[in-house]
Amino acid sequence: MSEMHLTPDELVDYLHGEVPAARSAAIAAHIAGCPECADARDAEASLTKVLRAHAQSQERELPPAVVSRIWEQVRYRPPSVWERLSAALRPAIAVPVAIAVAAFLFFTIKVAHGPAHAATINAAYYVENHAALDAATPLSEDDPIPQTLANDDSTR
Amino acid sequence: MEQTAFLESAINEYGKATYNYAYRLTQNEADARDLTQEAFIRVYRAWRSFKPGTSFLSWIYRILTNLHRDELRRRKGRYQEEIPEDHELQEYGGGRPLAVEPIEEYVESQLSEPVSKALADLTAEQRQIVLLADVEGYSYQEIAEIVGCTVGTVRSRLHRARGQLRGLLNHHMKSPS
Repeated sequence: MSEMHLTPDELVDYLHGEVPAARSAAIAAHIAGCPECADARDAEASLTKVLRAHAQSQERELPPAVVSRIWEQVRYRPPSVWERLSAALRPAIAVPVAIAVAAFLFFTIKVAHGPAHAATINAAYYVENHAALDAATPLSEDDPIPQTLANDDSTR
Repeated sequence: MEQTAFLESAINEYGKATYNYAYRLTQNEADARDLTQEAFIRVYRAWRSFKPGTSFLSWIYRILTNLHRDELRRRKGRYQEEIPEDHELQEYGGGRPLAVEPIEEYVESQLSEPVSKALADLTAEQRQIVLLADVEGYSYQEIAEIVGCTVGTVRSRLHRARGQLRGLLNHHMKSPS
């Protein structure tokens, strides 16, 4: 390795701490004995130093106007779907909607359970027609036993 | 409100760093302001997706990176431009011009303008990798996570970008305009 010079890419990785420990030690050893590679290493390191120094010299504070705009945007951002839904369900809208829903449910249940008079008995019908039917009912105690049955009984 | 407190703390602690990174990335103040503003609004909206114990700065840099990428795509900039393999080193004299003269001597007064110009001449993609690796000091793995690519891609992009930057820097030092 001492005869082979390090490549710029290898030096970049080395300076960024991106080579395995064993390789890093080998590179360090090589640089210690190779002035050319030591210069190359310094050149790569210098570029990083320049970039950092430049960045520091250009550093600036966050403008207060940016902070204000962030808070404005956050506070007055467009409402989400849920927020829009909530707004739509305000009492002014919710009350008539609730009444309509209640009325719908009331009538739906009523229809499902049939007409209201189904459970009552028409008294006149009961007295006139039901009583008459009773009178004509076969096998009533007052009626005579039909002939056919009397015959059957006698045959046993 | 917890969400508001989160944003407030984020701005107080990382606002300056975020803005400076945005400025270095965009190379102009107006874009840096817009980018910083939008990034913090995203932070506010997505605050629950931040994992405590992880680096907030890496998270917001990732947001910035995505916003910047989207913006450049929208503008149909040169973000996706491929860097030629020989990356114009020969055109600018190539080699290692900065090794001979100590570069620190030029910093601030004399190198500020050439460095600004050289960085501006890089593609946004190159500039981003160089800034994250050399200025911010992130590892290749961290850069890969911020940028959304593999470590190998970070490595190769950084090598190319630094080579390109060296050539551009030499060029701007020789012919300041």
